[in-house]
Amino acid sequence: MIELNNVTLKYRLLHDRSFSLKEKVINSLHKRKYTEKTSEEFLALDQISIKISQKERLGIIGKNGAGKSTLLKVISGILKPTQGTVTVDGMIQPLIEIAAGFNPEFTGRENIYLNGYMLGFTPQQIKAKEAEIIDFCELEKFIDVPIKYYSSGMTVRLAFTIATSIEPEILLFDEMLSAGDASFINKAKSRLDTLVEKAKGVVIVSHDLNLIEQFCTRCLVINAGKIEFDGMPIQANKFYKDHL
Amino acid sequence: MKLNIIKEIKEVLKFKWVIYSFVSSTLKMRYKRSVLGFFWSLLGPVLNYLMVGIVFSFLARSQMDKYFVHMFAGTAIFNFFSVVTNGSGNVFIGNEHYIKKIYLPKLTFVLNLVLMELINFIFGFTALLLLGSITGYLKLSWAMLTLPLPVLFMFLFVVGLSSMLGLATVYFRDLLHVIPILTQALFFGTPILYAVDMVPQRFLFIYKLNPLYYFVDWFRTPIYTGQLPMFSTIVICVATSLIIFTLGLYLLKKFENEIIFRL
Ligand SMILES: Nc1ncnc2c1ncn2[C@@H]1O[C@H](COP(=O)(O)OP(=O)(O)OP(=O)(O)O)[C@@H](O)[C@H]1O
Ligand SMILES: [Mg+2]
Repeated sequence: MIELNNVTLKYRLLHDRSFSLKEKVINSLHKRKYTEKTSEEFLALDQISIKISQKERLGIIGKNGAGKSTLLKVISGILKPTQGTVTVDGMIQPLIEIAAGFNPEFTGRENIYLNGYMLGFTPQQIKAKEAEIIDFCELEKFIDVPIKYYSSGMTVRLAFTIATSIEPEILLFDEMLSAGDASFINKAKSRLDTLVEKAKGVVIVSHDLNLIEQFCTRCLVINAGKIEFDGMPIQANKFYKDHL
Repeated sequence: MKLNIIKEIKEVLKFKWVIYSFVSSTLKMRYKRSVLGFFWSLLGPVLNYLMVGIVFSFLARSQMDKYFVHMFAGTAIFNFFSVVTNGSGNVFIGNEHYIKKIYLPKLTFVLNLVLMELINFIFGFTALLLLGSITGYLKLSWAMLTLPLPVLFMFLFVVGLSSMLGLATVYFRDLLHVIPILTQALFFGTPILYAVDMVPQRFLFIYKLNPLYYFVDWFRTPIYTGQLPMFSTIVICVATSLIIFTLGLYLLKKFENEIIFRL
């Protein structure tokens, strides 16, 4: 289903990300190589190998900066690994953070369409879901307002609803409910339940250990780009609390 | 590395609705908050042409209405080129938040820009064409039916060019400031406000190194004279645009996975 083989990902850490022409000219005048500046690399994923089989629901936990989001980006194809191979069998959703496809200048409704298109829908398909989406996120009054005027919770509601109204074969979620209020989170969890039931594979990144225990059948603990633990969610949570 | 243009185009066509949504919403946004909306996009150029026309027809001592047509046709196509080129530095760095979080073919961002400006250009140009023919400045002719061709090749040319410039700007941010200066220089270096025959013979070869010279000529001749341009003009435009288009797609393919690490 999803297979990662020795995946390594290095970010370049540039203090000043692009070189100005001036710098380049000065550097070359001084015959300085600029490798000294570019060569600062950061190993975000260090030889990760995992196999996620059909119907497995994988949770990923770990500290801030451990490499969880990076791992999801590699799985979804947003980042190409520096080394190693990624094989994904099945239709995967091309975004990992639910509000990623939003344009703050567009209205809620326009964003439903924009996001739907990014996820591979046609206008007819989105039109068929539009009413249900607006109804579920309870934003009727604000749907024709640019989302830059939404509160962060409202944005999360809309984004979550859109992301869960598509049904890709493989679901990837990174911190999906972080700003919703309690009543919405409950509603969202039951919606997630049905979605997860239907999906062929699920990968969830979250700091909410309860959520992971509730939804996942397997859990990885990631630290500094390496898999430190791989097993049952309950044990993973215990390992995480004890060791990290 | 091999480039399969058909495959690249198919890949980006999977996201045609994304492009549609970007273009239509951005166009709507551009005009929404102003009272006259779309008419500003027409009124602006009209006032501009009027001012430049009055000043330059005086300086160039040429016949006013003839001059207007010459200038209007040249400026219209050149403006399409220059708004796209000036925006191209931002196609990737300005879309950082999408590139980092969603998988979209990088060509999508280029097409968003080019298509939006293409539509702007077509609407604006058509409206001015009608205005010109109603007021009698312009004579419509059969040759004008061929105008979609230079526009098509100009389109391919700027898609390739802005792919390259967008990519280059990811590496050298200075280009954001350099590109508008260059397009401005190119504007004065292309016979638009003045006629080709006003250029001294010995400088002519420099002019002829400029691809815009040919594109402007191809687009302007049917409007200005009601005839088709020289065959060589057309050949040069077609060849240049195909080369730049292919090269742009090739470089994009080669570097597209690097972009995200440089934003
Ligand atoms: N674009 C980037 N350029 C350079 N370094 C990056 C980039 N993105 C992430 N990193 C680094 O890679 C490491 C892993 O980041 P990542 O976003 O995967 O962490 P995470 O596990 O998702 O953390 P969090 O729990 O805070 O979301 C961090 O140390 C971060 O500084
Ligand atoms: Mg993260």
